[in-house]
Amino acid sequence: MNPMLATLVLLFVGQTQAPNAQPPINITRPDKIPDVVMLDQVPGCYGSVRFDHRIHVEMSGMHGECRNCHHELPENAKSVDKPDVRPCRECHEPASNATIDGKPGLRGAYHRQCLSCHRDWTHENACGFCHIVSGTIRGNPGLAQRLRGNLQPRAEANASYVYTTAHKGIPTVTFHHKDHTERFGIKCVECHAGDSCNQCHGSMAERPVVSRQQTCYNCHAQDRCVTCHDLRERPAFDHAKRTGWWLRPGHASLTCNDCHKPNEFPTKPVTGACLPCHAKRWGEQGFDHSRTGVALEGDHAYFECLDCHRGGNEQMLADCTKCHATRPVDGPRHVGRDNTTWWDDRVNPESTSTDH
Amino acid sequence: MNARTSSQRTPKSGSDAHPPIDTSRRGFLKAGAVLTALTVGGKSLASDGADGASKLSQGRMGVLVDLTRCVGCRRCEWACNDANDNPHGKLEECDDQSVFASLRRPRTDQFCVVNATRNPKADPSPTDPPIFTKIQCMHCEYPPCVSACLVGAMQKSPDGPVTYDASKCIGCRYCMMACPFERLTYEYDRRFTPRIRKCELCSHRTHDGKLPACVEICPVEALQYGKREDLLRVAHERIAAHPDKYVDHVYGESEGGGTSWLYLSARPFEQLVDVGLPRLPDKSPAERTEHIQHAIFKGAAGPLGIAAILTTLHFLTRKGGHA
Repeated sequence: MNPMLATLVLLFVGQTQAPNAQPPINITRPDKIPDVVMLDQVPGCYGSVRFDHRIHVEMSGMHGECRNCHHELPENAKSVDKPDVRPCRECHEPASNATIDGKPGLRGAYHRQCLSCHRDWTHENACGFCHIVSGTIRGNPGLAQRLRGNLQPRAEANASYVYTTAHKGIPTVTFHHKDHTERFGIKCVECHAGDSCNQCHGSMAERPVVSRQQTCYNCHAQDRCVTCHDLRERPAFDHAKRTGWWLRPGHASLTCNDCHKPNEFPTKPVTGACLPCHAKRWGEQGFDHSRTGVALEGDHAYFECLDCHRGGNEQMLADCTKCHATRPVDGPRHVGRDNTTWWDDRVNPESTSTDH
Repeated sequence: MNARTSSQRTPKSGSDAHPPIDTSRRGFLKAGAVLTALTVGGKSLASDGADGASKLSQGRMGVLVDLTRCVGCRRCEWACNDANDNPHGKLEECDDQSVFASLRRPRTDQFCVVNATRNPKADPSPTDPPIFTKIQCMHCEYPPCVSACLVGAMQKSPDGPVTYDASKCIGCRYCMMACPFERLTYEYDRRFTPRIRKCELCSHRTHDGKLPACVEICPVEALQYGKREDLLRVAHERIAAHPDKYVDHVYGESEGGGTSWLYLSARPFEQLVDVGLPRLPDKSPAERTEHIQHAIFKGAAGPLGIAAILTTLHFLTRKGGHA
């Protein structure tokens, strides 16, 4: 092949593959972003601004990412390098643009971008908050460090919200916000993507209204109405009452997704979720069976899980009748390690297990 | 303190529209008497009323205020005071937000003020910043103050501003009564030479090619100075581009017959009545009154008609008396 032609073909192939071959832009690459940007191109009454770029990058991870400020960043941006990410001053002119519409001047662009958050969160319009003026935050780096992470008010939410919907039969929906965030482990951004920071970081006077179609249905699309709707306010989720499965001490610390597939747990049964912890013998996993109230001693020490828990469900009560003639009539009596006999002495004659 | 008076700052608006006349009060009265005697058909001396709007130039200027951008920094107040030689402190003193506790009006020594409107739905909260509304003379398209002025001290310049010539003013304050926005102020505390005080759209600056002081200093470019027709176009483009952000109305496009100052808002303008954007009919009150006045006095029809009736009555009654 003609070398020139080959080069052209290679170039062409390279160009067509490039957009797909490159991973999406990753703002978390710490080596690629500036820590601090000095904003000193605009002449004015105040000192320049020491803009802590890294802090703002970290916050932008909630939503919007680089495009929060670098709004010209193309969708198929390949990196966080130039020329894809251009600083404000490359597009916005230092001169004011208060006479015509269109692209704001650099001063207007900075102020409108920064004040859109700083104004709402703190009502802090004082210029010294950003500008380097003696005795102010930016003029005092130590103070800035102490304030780091504490500037925005905590995002607080009610444990539950009760909504009256248009559903005629069962209008009431009780949304247990705390359950979703703490027990179900759903991240804020999964429902609140697109909400501005100050809608949650601030007073609880006005909460962002999350669109049901966009968020609840992500998980509850397959559910029936009564999963959420009811005639009256509903108590918080109780795993034992709703599913009949007690989360005994060993499982109390697990999150939903440890046993259930994400976004499927309301409807899907547990599938192989126990195996990561319980696949091997208890002892080898460091699991102390006596924590369940039954110490595996004597011959029991050599049993496989499925010898007793025949249903394949380790939480299920053990089936003892294989060896023992009778079951206790009033339920298991948990005795621990003191070798107290808690079955009666009649032993299934076919069984070799004569322990107890 | 005020080394430059309004008349000195705006020589064009006053002297170009009228022949130079003796500007003392006595001179004015003399000239008025003579002119009134000479004027056929009772034509008003102050002939640049609402009908003067027809002289407006196509490129007349205005200011677009985007209330969604304003952050209430009050730098415009400071710049206004600075540009008009009004008393003012340091720039940093604008950070005082306590002034928003009450609604303010322009004063004789401060031509523009910023008022805050809380969201009526909720308590004041960080997530719900108030709307800040800058108010000043609106520089109406058909200014009632100009129409009401007996002596032509108030003038609507073809390029937009409504200007005031203190040397002609007789202090009747009709203009204050006429202003539907209640923006004009009067120096009651000056014994001999009280003046009307108001924003003049920084005519003294714009004639030198500068921006109005408030527009120049606005850090968020909430204020934009330009041709009124351009500003209206831009305003409607913004509403069309962000229908969720703006209410679909440009305040000042039609209020009171239109104003040079135009406002965009995120909340209905009904909520901004108290802070200084009243609901007004689309027609300037001056248009209606002048229409009636001009109809009566057109071609001296009214006075001549009345004279004719009186004369007829006179002769009739005289004859009748003799009869």
